[in-house]
Amino acid sequence: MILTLLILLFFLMMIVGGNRGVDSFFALVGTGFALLVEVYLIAWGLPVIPVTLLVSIGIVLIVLYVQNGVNVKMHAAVVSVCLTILFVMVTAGPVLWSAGISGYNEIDQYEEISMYLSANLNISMSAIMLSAVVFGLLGAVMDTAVAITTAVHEVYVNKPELTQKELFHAGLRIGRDILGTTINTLFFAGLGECIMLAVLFMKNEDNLAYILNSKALFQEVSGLLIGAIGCLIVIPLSSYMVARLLRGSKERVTKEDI
Amino acid sequence: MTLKKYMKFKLNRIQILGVLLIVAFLIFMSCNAFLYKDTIARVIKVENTFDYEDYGPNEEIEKYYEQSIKAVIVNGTRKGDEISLMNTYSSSGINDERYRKGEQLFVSISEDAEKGQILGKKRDWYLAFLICLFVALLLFLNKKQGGLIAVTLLINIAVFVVALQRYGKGADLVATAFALMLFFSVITLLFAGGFQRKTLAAIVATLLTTFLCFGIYEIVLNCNDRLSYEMMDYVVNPTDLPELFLTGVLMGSLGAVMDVTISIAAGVAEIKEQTPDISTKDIINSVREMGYDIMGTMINVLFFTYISGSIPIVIIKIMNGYTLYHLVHFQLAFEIVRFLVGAIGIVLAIPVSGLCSVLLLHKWTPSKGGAAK
Repeated sequence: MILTLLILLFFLMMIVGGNRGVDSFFALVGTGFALLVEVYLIAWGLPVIPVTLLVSIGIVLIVLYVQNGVNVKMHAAVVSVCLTILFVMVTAGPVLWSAGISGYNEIDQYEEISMYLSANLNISMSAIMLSAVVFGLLGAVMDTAVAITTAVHEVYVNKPELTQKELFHAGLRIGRDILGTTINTLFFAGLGECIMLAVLFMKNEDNLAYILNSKALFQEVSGLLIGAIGCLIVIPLSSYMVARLLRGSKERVTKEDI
Repeated sequence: MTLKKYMKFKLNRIQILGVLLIVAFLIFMSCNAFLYKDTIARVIKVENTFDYEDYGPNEEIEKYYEQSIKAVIVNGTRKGDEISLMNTYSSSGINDERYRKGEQLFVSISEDAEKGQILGKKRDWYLAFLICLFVALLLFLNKKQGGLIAVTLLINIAVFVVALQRYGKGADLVATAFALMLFFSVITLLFAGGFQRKTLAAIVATLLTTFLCFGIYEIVLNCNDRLSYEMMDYVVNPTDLPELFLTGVLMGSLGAVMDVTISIAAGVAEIKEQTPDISTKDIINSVREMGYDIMGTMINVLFFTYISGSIPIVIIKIMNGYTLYHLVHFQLAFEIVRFLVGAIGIVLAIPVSGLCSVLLLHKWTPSKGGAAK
C-alpha cells in the first residue's frame, strides 16, 4: 500500500513537475531520512534538545538550499526560520512543560501498547514532545518564509529604488496574503488527524470539562497552534531579514540573482 | 537598524481594548474552577522522596519518586479545605506525571476524608493561552483578514462538531463526510477569495481533486492487502474504521488542496488581468511554472505536520527494541498513507486547477475580456 502510493506520487511529481518535481521528491526522501536519524540518535541516548536543534537546522539548510538554490533570498529564509525555531523552543517549551503533555495520554494508558512497552527508558518525554512540536512547525514555517523572501526579492528586482523600510512593508503585505491559506492547510491537516479522537470523545460521552482538560486534546491541538504561531512570527522576521540583506548587499545581489 | 524601528507599536484604542480583553479572559480562565462540577484542588506544598530504581530494556536506570502533596480545594461544598494527595512519578515521565506547586488538579474525594485521589491536571488555561496568543498575533499582524481567518476557523469547527453529532446519531459517515467537505471548501474559499470567478474555479478544482484522490485511494486500497486498522490511534468502533480513516485522510488533504487551487486560480486571474489577450498555451505554461514553485514546499508542510506527531511513540518503541520494519508497517503506516494521499492530492490539484481556471477564467468568459477580477 505504502509502496504503491509512493511510486504513484513519484510518477505524478515527475509528470507534473518535471525535473524539479523529481528534485522535490528526493528532497522529501532526504527529509524522511533526516527525521529517522534524529529519532535513532535520541533513542541511542543523545541529549534531545541539541539533537533536535542540529537536525532541524540541517533539514532547513538541505530543503531550502537544495530546492531553491544558494542565494540571498534563501540566506534570509534560512536565518529567519532558524530564529523562529529558537524562539519557539524558548517560549513554547515552558508552556508545554507546565501543561504536562508528555508521555501517554489518558487514552493511550488504557491501550495495549502501554502495557507491553517498558517505561523505564530514562529519557525526558517533555523534551521529546518539544522536539515533535518543533518538527511539526518546520514545514509550514519554511513555506511561509520562502514565499515571503522570494516575493520581496521579486519586488526589489522590479523596483530597486525601494528603501529597506518599504521592502519590509511589502513583505508584511505578502505575508498577509498567504497567511490564510497556510493556516487553513494546518487546520485541516489537524482536523483530519483529530477525527478519531473526536469520535472517541463522542462515543465515550465525555463532557466538555473532561475534553478541554484532557492530555490527548492538548497533545493534538498544541502542536497545531504552535505551528500557526510560528508562521505568524516568521512573517515579520523574514520580511525584515530579506529587506536588510537586499539593501545591505546591493552589489552582491545584482551580480548573483538578477 | 533594529527590528523595533519598523514595528512602531502604535496601538489604537481597539487594539488596547483587545489586549485588555485577552488578559481579562486569561485571568478568568485561571480561576474558573467554580464553573466545574468536579472537585478541583490547588497544590500548595510538594515533597518529593526517592522511591526506587528500575531497569529498562537497555540497562537504562529509571528513578521513581514519590510525591506527597498538600492541596487546598478551590470549589464545591468543601472549598477551602486542605487535603493530602499521593503521586508517583518517574524520571522520564512516560506513564506518569509530576505535579508542581501552584498547579490545579482534578481530585476525587469522599465526604469528610483528608485524603484524595488525583484524577488529572487542569489544562484549560494552557489551551486558552495558546489560542489567545494565536488570535492576538493574527489580529496584530493583520486586522481585517486576520479577523476573517479567525471567523472561518470558528465556523468550520462549529460545523465539524454539528456533523460529528449527526454521525453519532447514526447518519451515514461517507455521505456526511462529503457534505462536510463541500461545505468546508465553499466557506473557506469564499472567505479567502470573495464572490469572484476565481473562487468558483478554485471550489470546482478542489472538489474534483478530492474526488480524484478518493478514487485513487480506493483503487490502491483494493489492489493491496488491507491495512491493519486495529493499530490506529484512538480506535473506537471496529465496524467503520476504514471509513473513518478515509474521512480523516481526505479532510487532511483538503486544506493543502485548497491552498494549491486558490493560488493557481488567483495566479491565472492575475495574468488575465495583466494581459487579457493571452493565449491558452501561455496560460498553461504559467500554471506549470506556478506548480513547480508550490509543489515541493506544500508537500513538505504536510510531511512535517503528519509525521512529527509520531516522534514520541516511535522513540519509545525503538528503545523497546522494535525494528524499523515494524514501525513503518504498523506504527507509522497510517500517518504515511495519510501523508502520501495528501501529497498526491497536492500534485493532482495543479493540473486540475489549471484546467478549471483556464476553462472558467479564459475560455468561458464573456467576450468583454478580463471578466475575472
